[in-house]
Amino acid sequence: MKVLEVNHLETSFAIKKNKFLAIRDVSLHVDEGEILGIVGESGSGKSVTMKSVVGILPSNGQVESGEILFRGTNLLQIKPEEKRALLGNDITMIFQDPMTALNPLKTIGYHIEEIIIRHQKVDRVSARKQAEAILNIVEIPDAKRRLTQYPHEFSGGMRQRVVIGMALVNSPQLLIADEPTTALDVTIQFQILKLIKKLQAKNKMAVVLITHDLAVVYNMCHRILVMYGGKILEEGTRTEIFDNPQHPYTLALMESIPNLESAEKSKLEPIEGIAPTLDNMPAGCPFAPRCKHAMAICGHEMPTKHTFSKTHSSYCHLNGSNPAHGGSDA
Amino acid sequence: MGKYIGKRILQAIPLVILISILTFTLIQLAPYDAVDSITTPDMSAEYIEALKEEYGLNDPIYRQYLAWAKKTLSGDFGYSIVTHSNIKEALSQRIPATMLIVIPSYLVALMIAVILGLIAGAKQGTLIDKIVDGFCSITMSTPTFWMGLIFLYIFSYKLNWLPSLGMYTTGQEKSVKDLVWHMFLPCVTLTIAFLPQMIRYVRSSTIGQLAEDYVSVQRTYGATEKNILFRHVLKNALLPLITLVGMSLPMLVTGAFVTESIFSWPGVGPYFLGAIRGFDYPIILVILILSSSLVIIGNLLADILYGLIDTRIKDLGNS
Repeated sequence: MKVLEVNHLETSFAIKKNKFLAIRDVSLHVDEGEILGIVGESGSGKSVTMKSVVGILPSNGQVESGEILFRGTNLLQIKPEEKRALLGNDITMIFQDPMTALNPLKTIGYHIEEIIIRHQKVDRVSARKQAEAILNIVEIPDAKRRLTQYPHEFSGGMRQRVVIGMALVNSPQLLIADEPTTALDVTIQFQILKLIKKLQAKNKMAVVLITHDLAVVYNMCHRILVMYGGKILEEGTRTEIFDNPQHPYTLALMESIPNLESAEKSKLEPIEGIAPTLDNMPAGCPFAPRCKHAMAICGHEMPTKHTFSKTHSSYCHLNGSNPAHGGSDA
Repeated sequence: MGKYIGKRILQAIPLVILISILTFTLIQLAPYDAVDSITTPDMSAEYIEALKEEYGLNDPIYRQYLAWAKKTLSGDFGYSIVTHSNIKEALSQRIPATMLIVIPSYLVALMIAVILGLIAGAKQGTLIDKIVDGFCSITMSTPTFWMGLIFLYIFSYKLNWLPSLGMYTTGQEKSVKDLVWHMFLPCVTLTIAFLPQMIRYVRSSTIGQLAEDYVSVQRTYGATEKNILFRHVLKNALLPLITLVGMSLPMLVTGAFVTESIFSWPGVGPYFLGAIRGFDYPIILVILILSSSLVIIGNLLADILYGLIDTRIKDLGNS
């Protein structure tokens, strides 16, 4: 069952009266109980895609075309109040920086109870009970006392737990996690991810996990989308992407991860150059200027979708002649 | 919290002492002999010397300061050297008169500023924001004395709706209605003078808060804009206003110099300006000390209030 389906989404940003497409023809879907990972470097459009879904684009951003279906309802066509009834209720989101996500002058209890009351129309007492229960679920000890405390009395990891609590308290069907652990240190990162995964499995939630950390993706996700320059370059299951990457960009990403376990000395391969900016987007494949395998055609023509299996596809002119296994070097 | 307040009060005391020493010294440095203001050209040199002795003007400065500080602390503000009237008595009538126009004007301005600033901030860039901003620019660049004179010209002279000077109509000293009637123009002038800074303050604070991450988080959780503005942004945006209000405390004494002079309001303003003109240094000293102490007290109160409302600061003080 598809919980979220995005078809041919295009999102633009207006910069000094010029419009630039930040998201170009992005289609994706997430099923019930599935964790979809969206990987890409800064500016690849992974966050903007999900911000378009939720409708929290910055004021100069706008969805140009496409459809965003949540359980079959096009979110782009419903009234604002219908949308608000979904947000924080069926669709929730966790953010990158837990330090700034909470209002510094409101207690943790207020934050959680407000969301419960807004969507469930229950009284304060019952909301407080639920808030206490959710703090237990996100493994914050001493819940009763913690509810009366303010955000500054919590550490970063604890605040992220609070935000996860806010996100889960109304049992959403779709959870969007936008780099939920980027601002946290590695041990806390592990705990938070474990918590998200545990609760996701328990509630059969659909989760979209946005990250630039391939290790996180590997440990968490069922399926993976690789984005670059506002486009999807490769899509597949975890095994397909990690064991058999087809797009040179995906491959380059893999090569740029340090491998601590390998006995032999391997050189870390960075990807040369920088990601294209909105006002300087190549006409063809966005990765072409940095691609080791780029051909003449790559510079001016965007490759079409090439399907390898029911779940695995990639957009590259190499069309499956996997560069890792000796593709064209022209 | 108690510890924090105590610490802040202890810090304030040396500051007041320092300010009093500074003010006292500066007056001594003025190119003017205080005795000149009580002498006349036909007085003999011996008589002038005797006067100097009598007023303690021949003592070393530190002795003069200590004597003055001791007297002031015991509540004796001394006498005007020009009119020989009791300063404390004069101030006990003039300070309430000043407060009578400053407090209502300030409160009205504050209320209007919160409403307009919040609206302008929430609707940044829209027509209503531009109108509010234009109003601020115009009133900010209009001198108070000019505005006061224009009001006088229109409402008192041309239309003859409102009285042009003083606090009472002679013979109606007990009438509250008459008093309010006289307060009207000075208060409107003061309110308009206070407004632009306050509006800009609230507006920028609101804009700053609306750009915070927690606001977009609230949007993602289905909060309406109204909900965000009143449940979340309002309190945070008005918090810095405490500092502004605290710093305005000295206005209770010195807040309306120009306005009071224009409308011949018998407040501290004309009294102080007169004292400066006549080099009536006991009056100048007392008013300077009073207003600078109020600056310190205002800041202290603002800090304490801030701490009570924003728990982050309270916890900072305890650690």
